[in-house]
Amino acid sequence: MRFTRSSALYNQLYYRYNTVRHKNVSILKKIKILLRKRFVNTDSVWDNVNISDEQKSSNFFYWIDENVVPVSNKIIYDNLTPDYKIILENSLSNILRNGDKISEKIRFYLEKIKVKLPGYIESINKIESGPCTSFKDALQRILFVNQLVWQEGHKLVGLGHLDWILADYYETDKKCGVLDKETALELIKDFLKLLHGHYEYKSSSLLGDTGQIIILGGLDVDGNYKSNELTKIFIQAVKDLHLPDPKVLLRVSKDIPDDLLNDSIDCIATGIGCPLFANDDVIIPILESFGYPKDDSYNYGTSACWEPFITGKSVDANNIFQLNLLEPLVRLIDDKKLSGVKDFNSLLENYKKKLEFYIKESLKIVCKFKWEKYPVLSLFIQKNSESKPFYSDIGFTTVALSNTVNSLLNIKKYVYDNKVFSLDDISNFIKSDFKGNDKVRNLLKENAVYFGSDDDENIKLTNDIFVSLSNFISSCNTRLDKKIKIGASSPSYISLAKSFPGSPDGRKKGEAFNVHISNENSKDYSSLFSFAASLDYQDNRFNGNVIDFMVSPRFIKNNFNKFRDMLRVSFLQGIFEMQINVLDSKTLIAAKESPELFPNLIVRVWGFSAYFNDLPESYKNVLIHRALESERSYN
Amino acid sequence: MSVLITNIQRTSFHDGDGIRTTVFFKGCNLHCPWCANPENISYKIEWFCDNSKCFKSNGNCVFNNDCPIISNKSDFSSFCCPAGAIKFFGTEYNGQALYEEVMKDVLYFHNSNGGVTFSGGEPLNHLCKIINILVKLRAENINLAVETSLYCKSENLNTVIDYIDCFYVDIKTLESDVFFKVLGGDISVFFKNIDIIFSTNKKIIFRMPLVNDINTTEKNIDLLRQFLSKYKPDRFEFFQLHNLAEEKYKKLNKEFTDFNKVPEKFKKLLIDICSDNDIGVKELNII
Repeated sequence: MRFTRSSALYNQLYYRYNTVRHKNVSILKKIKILLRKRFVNTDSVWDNVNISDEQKSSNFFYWIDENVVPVSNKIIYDNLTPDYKIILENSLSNILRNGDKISEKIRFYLEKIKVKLPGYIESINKIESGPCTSFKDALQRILFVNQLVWQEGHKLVGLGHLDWILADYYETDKKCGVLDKETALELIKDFLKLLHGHYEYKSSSLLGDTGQIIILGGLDVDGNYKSNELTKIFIQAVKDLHLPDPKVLLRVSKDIPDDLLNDSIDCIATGIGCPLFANDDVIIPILESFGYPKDDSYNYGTSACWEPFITGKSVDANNIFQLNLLEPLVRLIDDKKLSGVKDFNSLLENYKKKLEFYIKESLKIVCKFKWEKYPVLSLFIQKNSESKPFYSDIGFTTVALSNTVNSLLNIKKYVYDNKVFSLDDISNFIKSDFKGNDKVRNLLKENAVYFGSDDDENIKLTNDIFVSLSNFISSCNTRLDKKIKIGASSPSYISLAKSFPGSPDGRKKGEAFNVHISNENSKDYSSLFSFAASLDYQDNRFNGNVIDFMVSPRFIKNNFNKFRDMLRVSFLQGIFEMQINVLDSKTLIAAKESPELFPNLIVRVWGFSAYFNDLPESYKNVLIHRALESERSYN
Repeated sequence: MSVLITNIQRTSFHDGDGIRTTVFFKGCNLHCPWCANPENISYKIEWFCDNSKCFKSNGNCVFNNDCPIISNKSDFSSFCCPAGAIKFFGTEYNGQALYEEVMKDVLYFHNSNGGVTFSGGEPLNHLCKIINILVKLRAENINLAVETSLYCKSENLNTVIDYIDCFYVDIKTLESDVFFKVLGGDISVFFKNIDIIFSTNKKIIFRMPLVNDINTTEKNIDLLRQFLSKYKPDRFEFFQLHNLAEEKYKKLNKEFTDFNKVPEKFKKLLIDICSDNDIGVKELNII
């Protein structure tokens, strides 16, 4: 029986398993934890939620009953961001509908809070009775809606464009003398700590993968770079707290002010893995040409990791399926008819045929997906004239684009150009997992350095595959009434590789795929950036395309201004997105051996940061390997 | 006209102002035992075999028995190893190819006050062959620097001097007998060229590798004092040697000397000498 998300049984098991997946305890203890949980249907959540009076004293009320676990036979929407402006600009009373079942349940829930936590009655009454009146009130309202959405069972809930939506409240309070920068900083730190508080519960695939992403900065609709004091305060808060989550995505442009870029690099240099940079100069025009109106395009945010969408108007499922681009190549190499392929261009055409077939198979699976209703979340998503969210598209992510390009170019070199091997040889090496052929494997591996290097041939082939992929997707006739987006980055570079055969880039069976857009073997950052800037992200190819590179703390410290200038030029060149892991192999190796000495070591994993000690061994090993390779090549 | 180049390093942060591309020429008339780029001493292409990639077995190669290693030939120039086991130091570039390569990062140069640094080897022995490229690069407003021992014919220096914005000058030793015995050169060549560059307004930075017992002698320090009182660069830099080049020496079948680190008190001495002469001083962290 094939389990997919469309399967009712899969969904039921998934939602239950998620409650214990991160617990580092025995099976017996996991069962005990499961027995304590109350698994309920999504429409019974509010009847079962308990309010704890044990919440630590804080400026804000924020509570999620982790023992109530909504389960469903369908997929519960996740990986998106409500429109927090709705609760800022309206009273909750106006938002809740009279006579509506869910609205009654929310009202009852509010009464429960007031009884259990009388200290917060005033805050709750403010939210119920009128629009937002202050900066502190605004933060409380955001927390309130956030907890409602998590409680309803949604995961990976984003936080929105906070410096923009909070700016007016901040400035008004400052003018009235009730707030200053330092107080705002402390309030924001309190806010972030509360959001971080349910870390384990909120984590999805791995500890730290909570999706609590804060968008900052960016171009406004007039094309000017818009940031404010809050942009810097949020970055300062994240840096000071030194927590893996919530995380920040900073929308950048070639016009980003120097001081903001400096602050961001300072934050990145602490090793917490954020901000991630998203380049408005590239992304916004693509969103517009995809069909989003101008205002919406300039107001974009992202899903949990980095997949652009229109914040507050969208229930896009941006990471609904992962495509493994090596899959068609491995099937091709297995194909008995392959020995008849006489030249590289024919091989490439055959690969694309396999790719097209693979996409059709994948789309058949996705077409079966069904989504659960989301009554509470829907109160905080903007609707069109048909009372539906403006956008509900889906997004695929891809793994192994790098491995595929490297494999194809290795085949070109060693099979067709140098005639060192035949295709049958390659097939046999892979089937035997290079057993007894270490030299062959090393040869293929050391030469697989094409992807990420800005030679014309590498760029041309990568674009050929990327564009073909998106064309196949766009041309497929599906029953889905949704547009499909794709991106060249994915969280699944280890999970999808675990049982996957080796490949002609020297990768052995089970070895992790290369990460996003990276090349640890390159000696040149500019070559990597130039490569990334040369990729074709037009049409639907904007679902996250992240350069991921590593740099040592010492390197940034010794070359700060040049490092900043280098990043700015990369924005100018046209990179799509970028994240930076600031670490060194010595620290990682020591932390793996003696974790108790490094309890607070944070690393960037995929689109999130995590404590190194919390990661499975496979992820630690990938990071160590990448750090060693990058130190050999560059700094 | 073509030149022999061993490496073109993009996004260099350590070879001058801003973000730079560093071009390493092959060929130098000195042979410093501590050279970090020993592959750049000879003017000829040098070949070596990477045994970890060699598929030789029982006197045969699975790919090609014409391999010069199998047939004990010394001429590797016409053989292309399919497995990439036979490698070489030195690639010929004509001027246009070199220009196109360095221009890949022109955006970085212009946005960081960076540019191109010519190194090696001794770049002043090669740049005169591609003067037209220097003209083109200057026309693009690209800052040009050289890392040089100044051990070259003065006419070579004079040919290119107008195009160079900054000279990084190696101060290896100022003792003439050491210069001859250890480096293999006549120090008067160096002094003649020093006078030439100091007659211009070019930016000049001295760089001194700290080589224990070679240039850390009392005599050399005295000479350095006198030298710096006469020739005042924009900055004096010094650095400890490292052993990152050891692999390269092995590949070239050359002897590698691991020089001991110079004590801290010597560095302080250098700082004091520079301070006495009002010269800015900086220790470089090469690794």
